[in-house]
Amino acid sequence: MIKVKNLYHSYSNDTNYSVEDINFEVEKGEIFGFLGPSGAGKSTTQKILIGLLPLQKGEASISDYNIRSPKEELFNLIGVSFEHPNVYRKLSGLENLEFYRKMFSVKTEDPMKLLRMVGLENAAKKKADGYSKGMLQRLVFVRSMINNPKIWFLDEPTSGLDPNSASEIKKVIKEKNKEGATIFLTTHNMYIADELCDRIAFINEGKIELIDSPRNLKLKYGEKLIKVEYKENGKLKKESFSMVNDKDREMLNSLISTGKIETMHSQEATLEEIFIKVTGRGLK
Amino acid sequence: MLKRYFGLLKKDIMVSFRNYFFLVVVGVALIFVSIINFVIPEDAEIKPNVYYYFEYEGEHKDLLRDVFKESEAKHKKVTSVGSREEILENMKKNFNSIGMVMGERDNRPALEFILQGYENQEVINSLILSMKDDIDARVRADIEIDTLLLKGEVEQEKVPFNKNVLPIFLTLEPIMLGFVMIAAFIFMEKDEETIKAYRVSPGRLPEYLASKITLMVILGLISTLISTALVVGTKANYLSLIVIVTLGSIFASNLGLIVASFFDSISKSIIWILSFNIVFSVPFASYFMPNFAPLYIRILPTYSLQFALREAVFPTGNMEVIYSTVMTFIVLSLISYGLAILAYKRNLVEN
Ligand SMILES: Nc1ncnc2c1ncn2[C@@H]1O[C@H](COP(=O)(O)OP(=O)(O)OP(=O)(O)O)[C@@H](O)[C@H]1O
Ligand SMILES: [Mg+2]
Repeated sequence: MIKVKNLYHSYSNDTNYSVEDINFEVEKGEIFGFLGPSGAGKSTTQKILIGLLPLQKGEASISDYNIRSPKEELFNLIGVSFEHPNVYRKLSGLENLEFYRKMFSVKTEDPMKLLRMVGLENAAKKKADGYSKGMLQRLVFVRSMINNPKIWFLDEPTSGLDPNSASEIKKVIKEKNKEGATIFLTTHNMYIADELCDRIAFINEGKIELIDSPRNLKLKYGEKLIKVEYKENGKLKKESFSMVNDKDREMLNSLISTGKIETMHSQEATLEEIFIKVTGRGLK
Repeated sequence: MLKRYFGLLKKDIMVSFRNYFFLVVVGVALIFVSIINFVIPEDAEIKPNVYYYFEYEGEHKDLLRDVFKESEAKHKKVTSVGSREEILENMKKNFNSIGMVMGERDNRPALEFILQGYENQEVINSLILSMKDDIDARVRADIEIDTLLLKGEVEQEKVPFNKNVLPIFLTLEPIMLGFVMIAAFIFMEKDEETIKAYRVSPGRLPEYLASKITLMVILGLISTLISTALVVGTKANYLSLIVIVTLGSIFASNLGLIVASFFDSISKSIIWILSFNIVFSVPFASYFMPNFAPLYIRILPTYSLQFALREAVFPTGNMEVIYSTVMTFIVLSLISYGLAILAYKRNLVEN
């Protein structure tokens, strides 16, 4: 559905690239995540794909439309949820959606139904001027669904939302994906990436470091840790043991055999830990 | 395409209404109407300087000289000079002046008026009449009145000065609106970044711009109709007026759009907006002094626009000026619309 080959972009039009040699493909029906810290180049890549930034160098296509010269039909197929909520502040939430749906020449969703989906039905008639940041965020999110997009671009869809709204949004994303939508999602939140994405690209300083499924990443890079609490000389002690390190395994075995263990549970490496391992820096 | 255009237009009207654009336009029109009707005097320009030369040597010499001396004392603007040439010289220096020569013809006193050629006929008539009255009061003899036109193109115009200002307002207003309001609108949408949301929809630039232009035409027409109706009532040729204002608004909006495309805030573009406004106001000089019409003024589109608007507001049957202005503005509108689309293609994608 989305094909990107040797994509470069420089805001200053020189060799000072904000994204550099980006390559990936997103399959139909997949949720593909771009995970990386602030300034990594996630939004830049997305903006090139949706035609907000010019394609300077490299190739990219969406559903076989070359994005170098995007056709009107392409924009009927895609939906874009922006990082910064960009709605008409003088129009109500409902009016914003009513306006936006008229721009499409495909079947569109009922605006009220969409507002209800994200709990904005009571604010439907209120001017967006008076919306909170989270409400605006939810409004741009549902606006991006108005044309039932086959390919859906989500830039930080849950950033700045309270946990309740965030989980509502995640639910909607999963549902749309089940109905067949292909989703390109950027985030610096490892939990979102882990929970939603079929595959994840680690992006750092404009480059993709690796692409894989969350499960494979954990199998490959994450050492499984066992956290143990045990008594020694009457004192409670805590220790983590890696399951791939021979010495750790021996120590754990000896603790088990002496029967001093109080609690014990296994813990997986988080995507953030793996990200640090691969790129040498954190997601913050 | 049409569905999108009307969707955009509805949105633009709602947004501009809620930003008080309509209120501002109606308010400005009403203020202007009040200024015309109550502040500007009906005969403001009717106080020309008068230079006179007394060459009459006949029997009523003393009486007539007294008449002139009296008016010289009464009116500051009446001045005696030493020769006919001196009158002409003074008149060349001062556009708002006329000359009088008290002479003799066929043994009778004859008063000769020398005019610039663009004076308001009513002014002249009343001037001549009042001179005649003054003289009649003193002398029984027949006074023959000769008028000689210095420039020879009398404007057959009976429009009071204050109402005569209306076409200037009608010229200025769509341009001001077109520039300032459309720029303000564009900057607001750039600031909200709603233009980005539009760009990832199937909507295209030509419709987007057309909707903004239409809004400006609507605002321009509201202002035109209010002010014209309140100043001249039903006398105007409203059909011509609507056509001219529509085309003028389209052209001005396109220029405003082009300027706005290069900047991202009013403050950064204000120099350009003001410069354009000033340049387009220069032809107003020719409106009040038709003799002053150098090429650099005549090539400005507002030059013919103001005269076409005057013809539409105070019809004299001279449709020529309306037709030619309409044709010019159709061409200008098409070209500027094309340029506006190009400017937005360039500047929106780059940012
Ligand atoms: N309009 C711009 N002009 C110049 N440089 C820009 C512009 N937008 C982004 N950049 C630069 O490009 C790089 C990538 O930015 P981008 O917005 O793609 O990051 P991101 O991964 O989306 O970050 P975030 O998580 O903060 O949204 C950054 O170094 C940023 O400073
Ligand atoms: Mg970003």
